[in-house]
Amino acid sequence: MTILLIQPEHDSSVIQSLEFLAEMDDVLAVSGLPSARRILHTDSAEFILFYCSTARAFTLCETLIVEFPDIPVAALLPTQEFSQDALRDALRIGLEDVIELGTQASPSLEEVISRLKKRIHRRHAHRAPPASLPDEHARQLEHDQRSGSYVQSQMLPVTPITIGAYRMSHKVLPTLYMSGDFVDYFRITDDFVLFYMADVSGHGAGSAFVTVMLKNFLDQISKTCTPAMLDEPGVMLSQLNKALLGNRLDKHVSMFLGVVDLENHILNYSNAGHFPHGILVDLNGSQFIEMNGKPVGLFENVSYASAKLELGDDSQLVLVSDGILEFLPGEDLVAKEMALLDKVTRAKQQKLEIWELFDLAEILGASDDISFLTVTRTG
Amino acid sequence: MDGRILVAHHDGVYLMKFTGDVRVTLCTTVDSFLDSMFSDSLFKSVIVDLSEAECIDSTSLGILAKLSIQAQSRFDYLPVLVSTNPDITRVLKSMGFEDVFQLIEDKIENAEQLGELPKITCSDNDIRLRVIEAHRILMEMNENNRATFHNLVEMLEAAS
Repeated sequence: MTILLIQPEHDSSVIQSLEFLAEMDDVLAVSGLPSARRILHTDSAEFILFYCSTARAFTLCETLIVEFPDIPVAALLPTQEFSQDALRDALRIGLEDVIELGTQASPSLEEVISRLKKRIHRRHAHRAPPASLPDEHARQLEHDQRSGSYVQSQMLPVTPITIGAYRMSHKVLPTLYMSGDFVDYFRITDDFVLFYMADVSGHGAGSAFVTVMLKNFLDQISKTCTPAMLDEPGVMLSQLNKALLGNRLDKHVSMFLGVVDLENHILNYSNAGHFPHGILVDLNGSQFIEMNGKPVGLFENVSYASAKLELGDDSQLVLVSDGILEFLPGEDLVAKEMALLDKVTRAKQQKLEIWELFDLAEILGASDDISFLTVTRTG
Repeated sequence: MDGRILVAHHDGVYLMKFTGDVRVTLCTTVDSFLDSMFSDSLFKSVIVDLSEAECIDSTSLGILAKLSIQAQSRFDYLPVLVSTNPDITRVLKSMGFEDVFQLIEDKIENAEQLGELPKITCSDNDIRLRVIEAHRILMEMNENNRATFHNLVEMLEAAS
């Protein structure tokens, strides 16, 4: 396969208009993003053509760019939606090209795509091959990494989701394919929801393996935890600390663990060295909820403090991993933390997800995994 | 600036210096260094100097934790950690490293700042003074004068 053409799932007139493209020899046509993702996790494409009914749909292209950073993505956009603003948005997101559909102007669509193909070919030809790995070996390794990344993405919870009066959402952006950052949230009992953000030391496959173990452990602990542990989540962190040390993985984890009491709107939380600190946004503005603590998996016999706070109407808790610090303005850490508070406040005021205030195309070049988690009281 | 971990030792007095943006991918070299240091029959003291580090990654923090654990278990001693960069100090404190190191936030200018030395050296004042002097000399080591210390210095990790 050379080109993956992503058509809309239900719009037969569009599918018909794209038929001539779908029938080309080196084109594989699929309907909808989920099918495209499934294929890309097992097979590669030289580039992707994504039909977008409007420029707003570029955000879907963005999810592909984030997930498959090595594959160029070009958008097919109906001519009436084509504008300077659309082109600007496309550039910001990191699209390879925007191809106008339904115009009579020359050159023809075939020519445009053929030129695009040549451009991508030339770039591939100039790209140096891996220094020591034969092509087949490198492809196999990449394939393995993609499969791992797919499995890991399936372990993440649905986003966004509403549990009781709380809306939870997340975004995890790995440095390459697999991530040492992990987030999860789920209902433990009728009245309690557990959530956490974890950052395993290092990144890549080694750290990703630890996230699997972590999820497994917290799933188990949630089935056996006592009311006292829901009240003091630090106890869960102490147990996790013992489990990690017992496994001798030589990896440690900094993590924030919270339990929301859905009925009384109380957050019980504990922190094992997660930094930046969690941010609470409420009527008083945004503030860090500072709590120091040792990462889990490093020191024996550590007890973790627990604290609680009331979640007022419309309050929100935001967690980010330290990889984001690289992308915040400011000369020093304090200035970057202030910039983060400011962004969190703005996102809440504008009813946006916090990650929508960052340039995700730029973040793709990060040297560390980056993740976001929000817990918002909605009623 | 590329990150490096430099180590120097003299008469059982050790210095471990992190410089630049330290990102460690594999820490086997550092692990064997820690083993050899703590097995050294002449071992008297160790200082970790982060004053020239711009940033340290989570794997490096793991290395520091191991160093502290071994110093405590083998010599009942909290090692000295010099961190003059407030950004790094803030991260160290958020991770509770204040409890596992004698954290010094100012540049070392006099012997008193070195704090408590391992119990084995405290019994004899002469030894204590020699240890302090050795640390003073070692702490002058940096990227530029590394050649002067060439017989003392090893570079454990170089990373970008």
